[in-house]
Amino acid sequence: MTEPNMNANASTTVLQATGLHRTYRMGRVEVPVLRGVDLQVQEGEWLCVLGSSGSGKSTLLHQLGDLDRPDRGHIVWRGQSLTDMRRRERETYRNRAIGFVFQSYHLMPELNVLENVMVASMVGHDPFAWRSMRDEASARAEELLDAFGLGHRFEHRPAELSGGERQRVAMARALVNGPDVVLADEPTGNLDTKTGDDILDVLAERHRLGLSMVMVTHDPTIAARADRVVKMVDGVVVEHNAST
Amino acid sequence: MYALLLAFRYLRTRMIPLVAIGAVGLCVALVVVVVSVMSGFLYQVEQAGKTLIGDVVVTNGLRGLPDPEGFIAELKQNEAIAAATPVVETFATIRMPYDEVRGVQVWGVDPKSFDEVTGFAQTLHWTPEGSGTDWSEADFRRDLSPELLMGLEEEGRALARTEPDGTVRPGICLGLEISIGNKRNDEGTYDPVNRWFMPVQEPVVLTTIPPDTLNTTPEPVSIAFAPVNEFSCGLILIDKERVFVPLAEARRMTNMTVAEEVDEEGLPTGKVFPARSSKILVRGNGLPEAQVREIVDVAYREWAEREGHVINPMIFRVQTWRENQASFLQPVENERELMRTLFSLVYLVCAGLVLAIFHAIVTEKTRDIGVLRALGATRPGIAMIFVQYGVVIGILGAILGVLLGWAVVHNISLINQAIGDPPMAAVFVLGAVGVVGLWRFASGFHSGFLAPRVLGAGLILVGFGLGAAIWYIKANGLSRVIWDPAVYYFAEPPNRMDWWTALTTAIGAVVFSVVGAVFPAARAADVDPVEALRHD
Repeated sequence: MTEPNMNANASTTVLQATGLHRTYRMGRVEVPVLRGVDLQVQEGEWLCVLGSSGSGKSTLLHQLGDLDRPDRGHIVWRGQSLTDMRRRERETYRNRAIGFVFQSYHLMPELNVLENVMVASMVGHDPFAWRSMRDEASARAEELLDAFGLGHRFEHRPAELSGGERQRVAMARALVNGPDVVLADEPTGNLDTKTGDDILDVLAERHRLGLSMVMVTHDPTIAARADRVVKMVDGVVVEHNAST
Repeated sequence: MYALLLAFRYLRTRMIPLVAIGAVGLCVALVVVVVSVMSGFLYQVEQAGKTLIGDVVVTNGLRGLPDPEGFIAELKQNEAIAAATPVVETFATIRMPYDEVRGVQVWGVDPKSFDEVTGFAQTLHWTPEGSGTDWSEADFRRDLSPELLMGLEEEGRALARTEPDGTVRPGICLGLEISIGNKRNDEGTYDPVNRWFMPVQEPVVLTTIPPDTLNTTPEPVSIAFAPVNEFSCGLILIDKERVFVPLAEARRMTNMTVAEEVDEEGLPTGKVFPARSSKILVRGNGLPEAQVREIVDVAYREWAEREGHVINPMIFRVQTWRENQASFLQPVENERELMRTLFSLVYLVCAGLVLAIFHAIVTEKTRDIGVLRALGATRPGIAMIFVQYGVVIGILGAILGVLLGWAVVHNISLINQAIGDPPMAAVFVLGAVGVVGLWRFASGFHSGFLAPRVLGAGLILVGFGLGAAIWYIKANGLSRVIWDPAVYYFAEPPNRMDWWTALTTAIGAVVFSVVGAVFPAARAADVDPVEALRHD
């Protein structure tokens, strides 16, 4: 378990999922992926969702990040139901409240490192607003990249980076808008153990500074670093445990 | 902002958009070249037609216009009128000194006033103009003394020849294509046949039958003329069938001279009919043609009423030169519009190309779209990436197309010659391409890769195949210039850029590129982000 973070406040719930159901249709066959998931993410908490492949943990992450919508149940972010939000509000939610980190980094090959980070800020502003806050966003992106040891890589393209460096760029992109929660989907899944540990160290450092995180993994050793672990099997949460 | 950034980055880092830009550019260039050539052709036809007509033409059917000199004298009092001249027009047979008889269109003119209206003197062929600096090496005028040419010019301007004994003979100025003495060559200039040239030869004889206005059997009239010069207005249709003779002689040939009225017993009644002309040509003083036409129309009607000349509204016409030549100009204009319309279908090609290419790009960039949606990008925001991408491709393609079109139109004579009769250097260049193909094919064979072999085979086919074909054509004298000045209306293909068409085509290309981009853009906007993030 990591050290308790500075802003930990167990009484404040950032994200709450209640009775989430999601079924996909594969041809004529319906495949239930989430079957009534209840989950809470507290302010400053590092929550790990542990489960084997196909257990529904990535689908749960997509629901929490509003990339997909549940068939039943609802998600509440700081007292606001995502179901009740208008489209524009949900887009703002994805841009400002959530930061995604993917297993495959998902950097844009045409943009350099700095642009890959700044694009998250650009997305949230129209061209006129962007002009006035561009310098601020740039400074924020540079600061994060510096903190992640990529200060000398601003102009490089993703193809010129190692896997660990790419994931750190992806983390900087997730953090550049100062999100409430980072949703990380197997962030070390494509990395060797040493590099993966380095990435987790970076995330742990951010968590220590107050960042809330929901991390999906199938690796218990990674889960062991979280504040709390929930285990998913066949689309339901079967176990809530504080990490040991 | 990200939409514009990504649009430009996709453009810079990928090959396929360059293909799209090239394709749009070629489409634009195609329209620009075709319509510019057609517009240039129309312009040349108009200029040639206007050269020998002036701004406004007054006609009155077979009977002609009475006392044109009287009307012209009054018309010229108007400040809006620069010049006017009577013309007698008829058809005749011409007997050439080499015993050929053929039909010609005869224009009887007063050379001085006709020149003031139409610039006739500028079309004379046998003149010392430019002292031969513009003449090709083969031009026969190089061999003639400036004095002789000056004399021919004077005679051409006067349509008269003064013999050494002081006798003045009526002259005739023939279109340059009438005589067999001039043969049009591949450069659009004329070579003499057997060192024979028209103005110094024996007289030619025009024979015509005057128009029947009195229900009698008209007798043919034959008049001998001294060939004083030849003219070339630039329009072969006119150059090969028109001759100019003095107005008085043409009036004699057509019974349009001053006439006295006679009674049933053939005795003069004392009433005199003034001389007539088939038409009156008028040049305005810089005013628009339509305005000159109105002035002439009003002036003629007032003058005719005052002088007691009856106007038959069925046949009396006052037309601008454009209206007068409409039967000739209109088909060319229609052809141009037809070409513009048909070739505008390339807009659809633009849209189709962009659509196909963007469809491929959207598929390729699906994962990026998923990432952007995860970052909070809106659907319109995603669509705008590809719409702006389409705008950029359309603009760059349009600019490329206009530049390419301009380059082709500007150098169309060279291109025409190069295609019709390729230089031997082309054979060597193509041979070199074939050698490169052999090298690529061999390297592909060595490495085991298929692509270099296919590329090499293509280069071999193009290089050696095309090179051999050109060599064969040249070796066997089979070259054929597409726009052959020896047979075409004008010596050179038109090379005037139609900038209005270029502008509208460029705008059309941008619009249709965007149209082509819209569907893939909408499809991109509708991509399911979860599916997109799983996309490889």
